[in-house]
Amino acid sequence: MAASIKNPGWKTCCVLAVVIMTVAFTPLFLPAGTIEPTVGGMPYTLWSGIALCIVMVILTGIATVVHPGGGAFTQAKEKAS
Amino acid sequence: MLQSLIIVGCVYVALLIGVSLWQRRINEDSKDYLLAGGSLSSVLGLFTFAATLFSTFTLLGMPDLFRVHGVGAWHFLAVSDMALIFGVIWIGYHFRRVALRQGYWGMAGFMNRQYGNRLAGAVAFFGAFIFLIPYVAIQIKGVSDFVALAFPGLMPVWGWSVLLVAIMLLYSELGGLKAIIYNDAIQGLILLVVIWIVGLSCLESVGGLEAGYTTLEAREPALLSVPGPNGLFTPQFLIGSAVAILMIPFTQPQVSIRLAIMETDRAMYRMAVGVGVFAIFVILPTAFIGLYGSIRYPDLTAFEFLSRALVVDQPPTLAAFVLIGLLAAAISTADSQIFALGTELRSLLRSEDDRQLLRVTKVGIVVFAVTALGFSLVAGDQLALLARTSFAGTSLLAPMIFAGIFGERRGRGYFLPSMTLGGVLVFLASLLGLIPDTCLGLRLDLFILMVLGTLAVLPIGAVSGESTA
Repeated sequence: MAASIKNPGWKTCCVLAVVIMTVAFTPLFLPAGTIEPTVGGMPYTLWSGIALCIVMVILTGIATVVHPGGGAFTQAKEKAS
Repeated sequence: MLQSLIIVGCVYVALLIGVSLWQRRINEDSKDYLLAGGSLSSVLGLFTFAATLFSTFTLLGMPDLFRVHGVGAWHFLAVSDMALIFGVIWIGYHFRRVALRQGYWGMAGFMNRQYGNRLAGAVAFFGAFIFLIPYVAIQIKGVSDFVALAFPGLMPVWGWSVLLVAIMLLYSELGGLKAIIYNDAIQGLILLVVIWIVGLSCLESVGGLEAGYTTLEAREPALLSVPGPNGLFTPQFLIGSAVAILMIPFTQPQVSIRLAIMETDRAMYRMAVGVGVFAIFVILPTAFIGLYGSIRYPDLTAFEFLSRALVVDQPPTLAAFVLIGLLAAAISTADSQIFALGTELRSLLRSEDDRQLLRVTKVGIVVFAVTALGFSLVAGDQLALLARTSFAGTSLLAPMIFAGIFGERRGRGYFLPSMTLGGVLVFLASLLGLIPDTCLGLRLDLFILMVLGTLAVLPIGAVSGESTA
């Protein structure tokens, strides 16, 4: 856990992921009975959910780059063997 | 169509068995057979993880959820999967660091070591067994019911179920986990291609996305927002589902073993991103099929709708591929689950004789498969909701598992495993209708999870002075 404190990029990704996933289940993304605004005919809940997923995949991709354990354990394992 | 199905089916089964025979020659010991040698690349990891995660429930359950309960189905699975992939790189790293240090054979054995007693492993195994067997059973039942409906009179439902389990056992027992992984890759690709072809065909039939949703808005606007016409997709239901799905990589052994056997941490990270992309691509067309069903077949039963949308309304050759895709989806998840239960059993056993352990594991796999087959004959047909119950049930193991990964070894002992066992039994009692399924206004599974989560962060074991081995 100490590694995440020393790694602001990773910590930022974690905070963003938690915030996005929390907001995902609030009325901001799940307004009861609301269809508008639509995009390409898709109701709000669907297209905003798709957009949210794309953002999360991109964020996860960035997080893999800045991950504090970027293969460190594996390298140590390889050295040990 | 029967002719097309026989041709495509024979090619498919030959491919599965061929891969298994090829891998059979490579397997030398338990590690090769049960852990695929422990060196999974990111590409193979992506397909086997995705094929294991996205089951019959995706191909049959999701279109019906979209059709009957509306667009909230996207949040139910796709958004929850995004939490899962981030969890894989966040918690998965720590899991691998701790688990691989001592040699990983399965979550149950890992829990035994981390808690210093055999109760923790027994609880992990019991929880996995009790909630995975019904899940495997509903995969078998779902596909068997569906194929029997598509070919009435050809074979009874139980006959299709036996055939499915026989194919699954044949290639699993022959080739071990590596064969399952290669076959998962084949099956994952089949699933993705088939579901997109059907999805686009359905979308075209309703005049495209815009026209389709305009028609649906005029007929049943409640399907275009949450909680849907039947009020299923409430925030509590969706949050509870997301929490349960988020924990799958660590609470369902067929998934956690795939994290443990990734070649490197980086391979696991790349795999997680790939699974996120796969999730979006595999769930999106189910929304199109659901839209088609909402407009064309709003009043049919689930299987009648699926039979029309996936088979009757498609060209014969495509329908044959759909049926193979369905078999692939069911087999690729069920084989991994059954095999993982065998691996979990192996991780609990203590013996110096590797061959004997392997023999016992293989017998265990057959016993688990036959148990699932038996259960499939009496299971209900609410695929999506039964799958969710399985996710929720195994998620109750999460506090114990996370405490095992993150907690200090000193002060663990029997307390949390005992409480987890109690929680699982209480949840089972609610599923059997013996006690209410809500507590203090919360769904019981969510309530138990919160209680166990709280207990996991409290140093109760240390306070009570329980010893650890």
